[in-house]
Amino acid sequence: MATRSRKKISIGDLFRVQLGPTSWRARIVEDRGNLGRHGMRMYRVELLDDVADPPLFVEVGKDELKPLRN
Amino acid sequence: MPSQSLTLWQTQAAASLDQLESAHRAVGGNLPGRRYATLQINHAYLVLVSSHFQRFCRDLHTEATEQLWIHNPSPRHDMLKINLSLNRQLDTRNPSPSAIGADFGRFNLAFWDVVKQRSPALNQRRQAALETLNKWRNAIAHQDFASHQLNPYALTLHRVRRLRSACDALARRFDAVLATHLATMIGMIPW
Repeated sequence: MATRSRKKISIGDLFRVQLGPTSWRARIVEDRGNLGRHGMRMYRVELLDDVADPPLFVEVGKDELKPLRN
Repeated sequence: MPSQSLTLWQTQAAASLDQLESAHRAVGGNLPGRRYATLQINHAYLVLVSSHFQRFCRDLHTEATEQLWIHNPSPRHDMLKINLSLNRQLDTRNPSPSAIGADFGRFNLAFWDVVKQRSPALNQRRQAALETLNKWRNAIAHQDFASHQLNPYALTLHRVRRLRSACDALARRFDAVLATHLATMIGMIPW
């Protein structure tokens, strides 16, 4: 899990986000602060999809950000 | 207990906005140029009121979405989150009544109708004040007062304060409306 590492999450960082059955590559676009459950850090992310028009943006908690596998 | 979003509005945002009040007071004296300087402060003050109110609305929406997400036992609760937060208008547009109504309407309520169930006349005036706030915000941001039929010199400190006060009342009302509505969905007051 990405959050196990102490690395600070920055704007532009790439992660994988699982939403329903779909696993998305996602780019951090905004740190939304500690608005999540039990004060969890929330992030606004862009779901990277070649065909999405307009681009897709959602908010996810820090624990939903998984590292990208190379 | 208020939501975290309302607490932030009433503390951090209020402190930022109060700094503009201080700046206005600091530009004292009767020397030529004071009126122009205070006018610019009034314009900046109004834009900040609008942007902090937009932030509050976004935060409240995020907090409400999280509450529904936590308390939804369905294995498909991710779908709920996507439908609530995907491409919200408040992320990119002014906090206009229509954008607010559309985004909070995703929680399955006629948002403004519910807001106006209490003190209808007052909240109707506050909704109109929000329209006025956004009209000024656009005029100032684009430095285009003519097409909005506004006189830039007409934005007094008193007027900005009244618009801020309307936002403050709406923030408290939004917080209460969401708390009550979410309680009917999750079986408990969320904040």
